[in-house]
Amino acid sequence: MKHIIHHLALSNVRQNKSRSVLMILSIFLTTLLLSAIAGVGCGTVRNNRVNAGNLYGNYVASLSKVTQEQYEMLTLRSEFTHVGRKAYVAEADSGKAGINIGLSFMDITAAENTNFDHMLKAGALPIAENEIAASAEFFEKFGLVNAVPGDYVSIPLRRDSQSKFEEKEFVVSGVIQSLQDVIAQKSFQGMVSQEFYESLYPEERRFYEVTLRLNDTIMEDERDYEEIVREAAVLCGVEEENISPNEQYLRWVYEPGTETIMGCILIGLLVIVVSVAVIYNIFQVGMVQKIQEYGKIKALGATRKQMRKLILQEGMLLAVVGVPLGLLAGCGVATVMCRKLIVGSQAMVGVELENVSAISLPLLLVVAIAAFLTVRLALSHPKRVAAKTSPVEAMRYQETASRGRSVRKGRETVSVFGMMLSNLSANRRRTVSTICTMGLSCVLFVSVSNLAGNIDDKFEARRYVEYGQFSMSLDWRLDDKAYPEKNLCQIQRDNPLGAEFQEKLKAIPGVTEVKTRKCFEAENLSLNSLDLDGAYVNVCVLDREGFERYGKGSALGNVDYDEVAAVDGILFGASYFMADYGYQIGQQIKLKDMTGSGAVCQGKLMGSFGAAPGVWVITEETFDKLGITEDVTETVWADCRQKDKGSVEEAIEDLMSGMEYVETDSYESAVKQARYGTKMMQGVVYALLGLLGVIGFLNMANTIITGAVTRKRELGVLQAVGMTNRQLNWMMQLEGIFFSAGTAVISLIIGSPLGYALFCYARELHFYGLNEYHIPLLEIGVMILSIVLLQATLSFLLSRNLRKESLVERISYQG
Amino acid sequence: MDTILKTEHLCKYYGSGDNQVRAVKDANIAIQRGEFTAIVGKSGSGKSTLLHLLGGLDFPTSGKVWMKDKDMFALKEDELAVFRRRKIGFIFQAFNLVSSINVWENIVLPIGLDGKETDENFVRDIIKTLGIEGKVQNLPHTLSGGQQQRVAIARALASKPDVILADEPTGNLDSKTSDEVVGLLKMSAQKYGQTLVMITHDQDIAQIADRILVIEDGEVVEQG
Ligand SMILES: Nc1ncnc2c1ncn2[C@@H]1O[C@H](COP(=O)(O)OP(=O)(O)O)[C@@H](O)[C@H]1O
Ligand SMILES: [Mg+2]
Repeated sequence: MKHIIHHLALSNVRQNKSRSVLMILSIFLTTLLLSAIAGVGCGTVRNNRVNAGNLYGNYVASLSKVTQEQYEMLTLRSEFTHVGRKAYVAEADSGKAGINIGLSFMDITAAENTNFDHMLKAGALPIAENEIAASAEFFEKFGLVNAVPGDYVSIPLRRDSQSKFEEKEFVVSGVIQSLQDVIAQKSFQGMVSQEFYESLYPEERRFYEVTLRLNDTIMEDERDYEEIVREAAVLCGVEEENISPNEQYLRWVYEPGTETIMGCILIGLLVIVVSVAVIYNIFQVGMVQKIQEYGKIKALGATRKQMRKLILQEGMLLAVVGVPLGLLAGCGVATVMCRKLIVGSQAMVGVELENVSAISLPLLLVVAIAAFLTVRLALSHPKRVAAKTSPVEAMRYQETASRGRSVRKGRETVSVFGMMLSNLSANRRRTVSTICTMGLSCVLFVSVSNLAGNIDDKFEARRYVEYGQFSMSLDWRLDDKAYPEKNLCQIQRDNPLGAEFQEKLKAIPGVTEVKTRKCFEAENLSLNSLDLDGAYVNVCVLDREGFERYGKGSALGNVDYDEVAAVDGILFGASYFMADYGYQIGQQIKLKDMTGSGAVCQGKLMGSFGAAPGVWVITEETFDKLGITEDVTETVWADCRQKDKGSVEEAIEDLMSGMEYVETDSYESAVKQARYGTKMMQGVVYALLGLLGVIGFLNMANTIITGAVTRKRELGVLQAVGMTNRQLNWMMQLEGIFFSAGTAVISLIIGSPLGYALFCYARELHFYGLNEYHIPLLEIGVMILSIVLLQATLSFLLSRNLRKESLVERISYQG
Repeated sequence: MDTILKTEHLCKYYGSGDNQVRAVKDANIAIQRGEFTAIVGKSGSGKSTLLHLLGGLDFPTSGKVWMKDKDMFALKEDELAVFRRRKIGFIFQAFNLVSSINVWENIVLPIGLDGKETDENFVRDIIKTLGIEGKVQNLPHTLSGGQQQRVAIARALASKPDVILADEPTGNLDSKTSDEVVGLLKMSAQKYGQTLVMITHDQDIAQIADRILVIEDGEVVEQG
C-alpha cells in the first residue's frame, strides 16, 4: 500500500500538470527569496565580523592626549598588546581654499591597528627624518605628479598657528592608496617619521593618540572590555574622558549582529506568510476537482492516514523539485549582492577587504526546512479535508461551491458578462480566496510604495543644504580637550564666517541672497544625569522660518515662534530623546554661553522639535537679549540664479581658500547624492516585492486555469449552443479582469490607509527623505498595469489553448 | 415538401492507413421540414458523428451539408457559431446545462448570446408545455435527470430554431421517463413547427418517429 500511495501521488502530480508547474514555481520563488534573504544577511554579518578590523580598525580602544611617559607605561601593561601611537606633527600650506593638509607620525603598530599598512600602494612607511608617505593627490598639491618612492617634494609647513610656514624637502618613501571620492576630499594626510616628529617636539611636548588591543586571554573569558581598558589606562595616568572604545569593532567581533539577523528573519516570515497563502490556495483550488477521485481511493479502502499521506506526498514531490532549484538560484543572487556590498564598503574605507561567502550550509539547511515547512503548512488544511470526506460524499461532490444552494435569483436575459459573474459567484470561495491572496502581495506593495515612492530627493537634499545653492558651515566640536582650537566657542572667537566674509560673499556677482544662522556653544547648567549629550552642548538660534520648518512633524509641546519668544522659552532639539534624557516640559533650563560673554540663558522648557540643528533651540529675540558680542554665525547660505551656479561656485571656492574649520556643500551635489541613495533603496525594495507579486500571480493563474479546465465540457456546450470564439475569449478576459480589478481594489482599499499610516510613522522617525505625502500613482499604475498585462496574456493563451481541441472533443470530455 | 437539411457525399474518417475509422461513409440524406427523423444504430456505428456534422459542430473529411440553400461548411468559424445558435437547437445525452446559472438562464442562454430580446411569453409557454414551471430558479444540480433533459429541450426550442438535433437524449433516463421526454420532445417540435432529428439506440422509441434512418458501420440506410 505504501508503494501505491507514492504511485498515486506521482500520477496525480502528472495529471494536474499546470497546477504542478505553478506550485513548483511558487515553491521555487519562495525558496529563492528565503535563501537570498538569508544569504545577504549572512554575508553582511560575516563581512562585518571577518572584516571588522579592516572596516573599523583593529583596535579595542583609542586614547588621546597620551604623554610619552604614559605611553611607555601602557606598553608595559599585561592587559594590552599592539600599543600603537600616532601624533599630529604639522600643518602644511595647501594654498587652496577649504583644503586641509596635515602631517602626522604613526608607528608601525598604529598603522597596523588602523589598517594604514594595507593602504600602502608602493614603497614603505617613513623611517628617516626626511621621509614622507602620502597619497598621489597629496603630492599633487605640492606639484609632484605621479609620485613614486625616491622622488623629492618640498612642502611648506608649520608646527602651530603661531609659527610661520617654512619649506622642507622630503623624500617620498611610500605612496598611499587614494580613497574613492578624491574629488570631494577636502583634507589630506601625509605620514612622516618618528625621527622628524621628535626633532620638532621635545619630550614634554609630545602627545600621542594611542590605539591598542587587549590580550587574547582577556578577550577569551572577560566580557566588559571597555571597563578593563578604562581601569588599566587610568592607572597609567590617562584621563578617563580621553578614552574612547572602538564600539563598532567590539560590536561586530563579539556580538553576532543581532539587528541584521532580526531584520532578515522578519522579512523571511513575511515571505513565508505570502507563500503559505498562495501554495495553500493553489492546492485547494485543484482539490475540488480531485475530491471525487480521492473518494474513489477511499472507497477502495484507503485509511485516513493514508489519505493524509497521499496529499502530503503530492506536495513534497513538488517541493523536492522546487526547493533545490530555489536554493541554487537564491545562492547565486546572494553571492552577487554580497560581492556588491563588499566592493561598495571597500571603496568607502579604502582597505582591501577579505571576500566572504554569502553561502552557509547550515543556513541553507534551515532555509530548505523552512521551505518544506511552508509547503507542509499550506497543505495541512487540504490534508484534513481529504481525510474527512466520506467516500459517498466525495463521489457526489459538486465542483460548484453552490453546494447547499439550490436556487439562484438570476436575470431575465443572459449575457457574456452575466455568465462570467455567475461563474465567479458560483465559485465564490475560490474567487474570494484568490483575490485575497493576490491582494495580500499587492497590499504589501502598495503600502511599501507609499514609503519608497514618497522619498523626496530634493527634501532629503534640503536637510544638508537648507537654503539656496551653497552652504558654508563651521566644522566644530564641543568640549574637545585634545584639540580645543576645534571647539565651536574657540572657532567663533575669530569667526571665519563673520560679517567680513558675508560681505565678500554678497559681493560675488550672481549671488542673489545670503542667509545666516547662529549657533553657539554652551554649558548646560541644568544637566540631567540621563542626558547623554553631556554638559557641553550647542544652542541653535532659529528664526521664524526655521521654527516653521522644524516645527513640522513630530514636535512636542509649544513650538510657536511668537509664544516661545514672548516668554524667552527654550526648546529641545530632538523630541524622540527628550523624555529619555530626563527633561520635562515646563522645567527651567539654564544654558551658559561659552563663547566669551558668559551670559546665562535661562527659561522654561516649552517643548521640542522633531530634529532641530542644535541640542537646544532659542528664538532670535531671546538671543538678542543675551548680549553675546561675538559673531556666533555657524552657517551661511548663498543663493544664486541657475545660470550663475558655475561661476559662483568658483568664486566661493576662491573665497574659502585657506580657511580652516569650514565645510561647504552644494545643493546640487546633495540632490545627486540623495537620488543615488533613493534609487538603490527602491531597487532592492521593489525587486523583493515584485517577486512576492509574481508568487501571488501564480496563484491567480492557477485559479483561472483550473476554472477553465474543470469547465471544459461546459464551455464546449456553450459553444455548441452558439457562443462564438470571440465571446469565449471575451468571457475569459472578463474573468481575468475581474480578478485583476478585485485585487487592485483590495490593495488600494487596504494598502493605501496602511501605507499612509506607515508613511506618517516613518516620517515621525525621520526616515530618509519623507516629506509631503502624495499617493504613489506611478508605482500603483505600474503594479496594476503589470497585473492586467500578465492576466490578459494568460487569458489569451488559455482560450487559445482550449480551442486547440475540437468542439466535439470538448463536448465528449469526461470531466 | 421542402427539404430543410441535405447532405451530399458526406464522409468523416478518423486516422489514416490501417487504423482509419470510417465513421460516416458517403451519406446522402435529405430531411424535410417538420419531419421527425430517428437515427438508430449500434454503439460506435457513427450516429453521433453524423449528428455533429449535421449540426456543424464537426468538420467533414469530404462532402457537404446544406441547410435550406446554405452550404454550412463554407461559413467561417464564428459565422457558423452564430448560424448554429439561430438555426439549430442541440440536446445531448447528459451534462447539458451550465451549472452556475439557473434553469431560466440556461433556457434563454442561446438568445442572450445572440444579443436578442427574449420572447418571454414564448419561453414561458415552452416551460409550461414541458412542465417545469416550478423550477425556473433552480440550479441544474438540484434537478433529476428527466427534469434536466426537459430544460435542455426547452433551451433547444427557445431560440425558435429550424432544426433540433438530439443525441440520445434519453440515454441516461429510465424507460418511463424516457417515454415521457420523447413524447414531450415530439409534441413540442410539432407545436412549434420544428424539424427534429433524434439519435437513439432504442427501437421502441424510434417507432414514434415519422421516419427511421439506420446507420451501420458508417453507412446510412433508410428503414422501411
Ligand atoms: N475523435 C475521434 N477519433 C477517432 N475515432 C473516433 C473519434 N470520434 C469517434 N470515433 C470513432 O468513430 C466511430 C463512430 O463513433 P460515434 O459516432 O461516436 O458512434 P456512436 O455515436 O454511434 O456510438 C467509432 O468507431 C469511434 O471509435
Ligand atoms: Mg454516440
